[in-house]
Amino acid sequence: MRIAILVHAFPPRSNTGVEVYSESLARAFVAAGHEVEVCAARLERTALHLAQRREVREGFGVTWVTLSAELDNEDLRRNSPGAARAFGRFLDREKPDVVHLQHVLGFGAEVVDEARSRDIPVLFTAHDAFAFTDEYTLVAPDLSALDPLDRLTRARCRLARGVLDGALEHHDGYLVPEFADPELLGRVRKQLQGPTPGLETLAAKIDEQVSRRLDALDRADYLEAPTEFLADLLEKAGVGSTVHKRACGIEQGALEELAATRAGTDGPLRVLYLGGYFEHKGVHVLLEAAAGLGQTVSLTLRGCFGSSAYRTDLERLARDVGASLGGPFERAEIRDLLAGADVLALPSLWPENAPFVLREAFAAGLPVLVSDTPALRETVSDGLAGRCVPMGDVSAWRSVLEELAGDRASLAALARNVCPPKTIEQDARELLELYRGLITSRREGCERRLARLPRHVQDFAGRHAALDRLSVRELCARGIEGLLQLGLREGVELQELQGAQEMLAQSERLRERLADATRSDLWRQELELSKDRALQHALEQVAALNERASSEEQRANWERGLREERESRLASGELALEDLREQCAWLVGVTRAREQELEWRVSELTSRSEELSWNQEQLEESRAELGEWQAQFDQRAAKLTVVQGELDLVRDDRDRVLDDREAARTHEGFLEGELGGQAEQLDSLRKQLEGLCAEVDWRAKEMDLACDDGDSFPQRVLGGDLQRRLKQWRAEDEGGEPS
Amino acid sequence: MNHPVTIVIPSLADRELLLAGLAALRTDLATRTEGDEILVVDDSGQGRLAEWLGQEEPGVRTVANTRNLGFGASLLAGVQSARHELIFALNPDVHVRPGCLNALVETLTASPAVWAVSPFVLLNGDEVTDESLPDLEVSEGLPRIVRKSLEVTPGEPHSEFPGGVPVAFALGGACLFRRDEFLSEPFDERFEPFYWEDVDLSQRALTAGRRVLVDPRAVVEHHHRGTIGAHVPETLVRAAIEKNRLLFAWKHLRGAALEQNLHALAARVIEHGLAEDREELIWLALALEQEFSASGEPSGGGLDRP
Repeated sequence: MRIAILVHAFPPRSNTGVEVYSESLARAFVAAGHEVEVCAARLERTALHLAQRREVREGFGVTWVTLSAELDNEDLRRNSPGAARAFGRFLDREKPDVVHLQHVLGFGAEVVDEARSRDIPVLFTAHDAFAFTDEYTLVAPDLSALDPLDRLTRARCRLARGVLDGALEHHDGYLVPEFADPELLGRVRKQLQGPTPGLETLAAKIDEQVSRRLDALDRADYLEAPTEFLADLLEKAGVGSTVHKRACGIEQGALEELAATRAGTDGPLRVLYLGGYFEHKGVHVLLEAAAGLGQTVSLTLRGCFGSSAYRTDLERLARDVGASLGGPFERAEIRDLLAGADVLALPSLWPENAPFVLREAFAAGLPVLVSDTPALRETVSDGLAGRCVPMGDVSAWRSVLEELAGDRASLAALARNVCPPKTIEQDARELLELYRGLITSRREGCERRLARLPRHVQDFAGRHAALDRLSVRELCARGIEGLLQLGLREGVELQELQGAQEMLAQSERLRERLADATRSDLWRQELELSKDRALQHALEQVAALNERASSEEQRANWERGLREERESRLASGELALEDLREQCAWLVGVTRAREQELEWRVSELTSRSEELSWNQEQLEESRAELGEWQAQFDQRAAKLTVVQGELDLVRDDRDRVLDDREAARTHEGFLEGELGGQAEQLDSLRKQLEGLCAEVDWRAKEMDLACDDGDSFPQRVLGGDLQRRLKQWRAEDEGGEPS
Repeated sequence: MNHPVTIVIPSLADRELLLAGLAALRTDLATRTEGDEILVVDDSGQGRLAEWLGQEEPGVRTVANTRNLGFGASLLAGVQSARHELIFALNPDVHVRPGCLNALVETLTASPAVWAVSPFVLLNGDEVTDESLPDLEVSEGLPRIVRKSLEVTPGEPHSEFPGGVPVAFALGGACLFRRDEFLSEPFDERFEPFYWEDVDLSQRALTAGRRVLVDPRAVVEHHHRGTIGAHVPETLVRAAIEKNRLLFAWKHLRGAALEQNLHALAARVIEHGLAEDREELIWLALALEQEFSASGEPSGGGLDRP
């Protein structure tokens, strides 16, 4: 099995817990017959960013990835630009079967995706709370406890550290309140407690970073933490997958012998502290506790130094108790250090997790004194193989030291209860079992994919997959060896390959340097491109700024005009104000006059009111009268309505009569016309009649004459009878009785 | 003279594609009276295609592989079962145009020196884009397939080469050859799973002094349906192509050309090793594995560049 271990730092550059554990694990895997490739960050300002150097030691490879860019930027230092991709290149080169992430600081949690995209299973061990907070020591810069899941607290801590950055040249992110400059401490606490502008914006930014990190780590195939405390915190922080609790092992080696041969002494109580001199490690609590205990307690302190201010404080305290601050220690020294101690102290002011130094002490049969925190209580049962002392409580620590210094039987009892911790070999066996499970399930997926290919392609695909599992080094070696063989067969001498093979075999570092050169060429090309792009962008920005400047100038001119206009308005306003003042004075006079008038009017009003009351009474009476009148009016109105109805009828009649009259007039006119016509006709008829009458008269005359003639005729002719008969006939014609 | 042809179509499971190809083929065969035979090799490995064809296309003979063997082995199985001496190897996504087979037969049988004839291949039926007239050139020690710079009108004989245009190889997916010659020297199995086996076969013929031609009068349309690409990831297809390119080079390059190839590869190994470019190293490893796992020594070269 080829195992890749990613860790933020590695021995010999860094010798603290996770780094040493990663190295021990690598050795244990190699001893179990597996291949190990470690990928570790190396912070070095002057080296080429992302340059990779591989070295081989004790049977495993260590690839150092240099992180030199943006080291002063807190965010980018945690997630260095391009570091995750560099890890991807490491994976392409080494082709591990499984990736075990020990710490992703510097590389960023995106390394999970780099492995997953290459179909490599990923196991992540959380050694601290970095997965979900940048405040992974779980204490604020003033060493007060904090809620690591509270977003505003996280932002406040960041701001408080900003205060430290501005005030101190070197610091480790903390202030010990009793040693700190009160003014500076006040400023730090103001950020931690008081209302701060921009807090919400910063909290949102940190939220986004943290949730991205947490989400990425959640995509790992297996998550584990060495304590329930941390596993629980991770789950509360929102990790969706189960976080398994599994303790880490340590390399026991010579420590086991110590446990077997440990014997008590009658001298002073020998207290050992191993770790860093950082404020949150609480070394000052231990030193203060030892003060006043005189020769009964002997302190041995070893570790790497942090900020100079804290070191000065510790040195002062150490002098008081006759101790000295010992510097960093080599791994080889641990045995002797543990052998020379009666008890190991861990006076931490932060919750801790599962410190490796405790397990080393237990491996050496040494009891421990630890701060009483939930995480440490998982390793140390109070009174069994050690004592849990209230965190930061100097007098409690002093009491425990005093008690153990005076009662060696208690100390011996504690030592007898020490149980050996899990060995690194056991740990490696457990992990190998986990890796196998993850790899098997990944391989099954791969085999399922192969089985879906056409049958005749499967063999080829299988060979391809097998080669794809080789590292670039192995592929190169195969290529060189095969070509040399081919050259030999074909009689072609490939001297360059023989040289290359020797060169690469002899100097891994040279190969890496050549590889770096190749990469740096590419990087330089990218850099040049990005510079060109940046230049272009800058030019665009300049153009935009010019444009903006021009528009700002226009705006300034406009504002100048506006200001002048406003000034002139102001001048006229002042004049107007003067006028208004005068007006105001006048109005004051007027107001006074009005007030007098008002008074008069008030008195007037009073009299009017009285008048009004009288009028009111009158009005009431009038209203009553009006009521009566109203009733009468209503009656009359009713009558009027009747009369009105009648009148309407009369009016209708009148209208009808008028219509008739009009029609009669029209008819009269018509008749007049007719009459005129008839009169004319009558005239003409009269004339005709007159004519006729004249004619009749004439004819009558004629007739008369004729009659006369006739009358006379009978007479003349016939005599009298005929005449008489004629007269009779005439009378009969005229309706008379016949005569 | 009567020249009946067996058309061998190795096929997977794309029934629609196959039916379209058979329809075009039948139109062309309708103009011939030689008693040609269509033989589909069912390479699905399940026999379902053969069963279905028996119902849908009763006039088509089928041979069913008991397991999926790939193009080369399926073609060989088809050729072994063929009834006629002339074999027209055809991919199911290649549609022949009328007159294709007559022209090919005429060109192949014109001279015993002609080893194989391919039709002019139009890409997806586009009249101006073709996949024909292949030539080989060696660049940076590696053989590459290029197109001959020759103007050709599809369906018409070339004025300069009326008897067929000489090319570097006959396309495995559309070419006419003689059954016995193929059986006596079939595809080299080292070129499994696909690609470059036809280039190698033609190169062997050319080395032996035979001629390989493209007859522009015979036209086919290649309707790309990703016969391989549809079933195999691009990374594997590319790996197979590049592995076989190397195998071809080692098999056929000789003298200075081979020397140049090996020096170029040596430089590339170092270059890719330093650049951590795994892919090309894997291609080389695949080719070397196959080169040394095969028992036979490379056979003669035809691409020597002194």
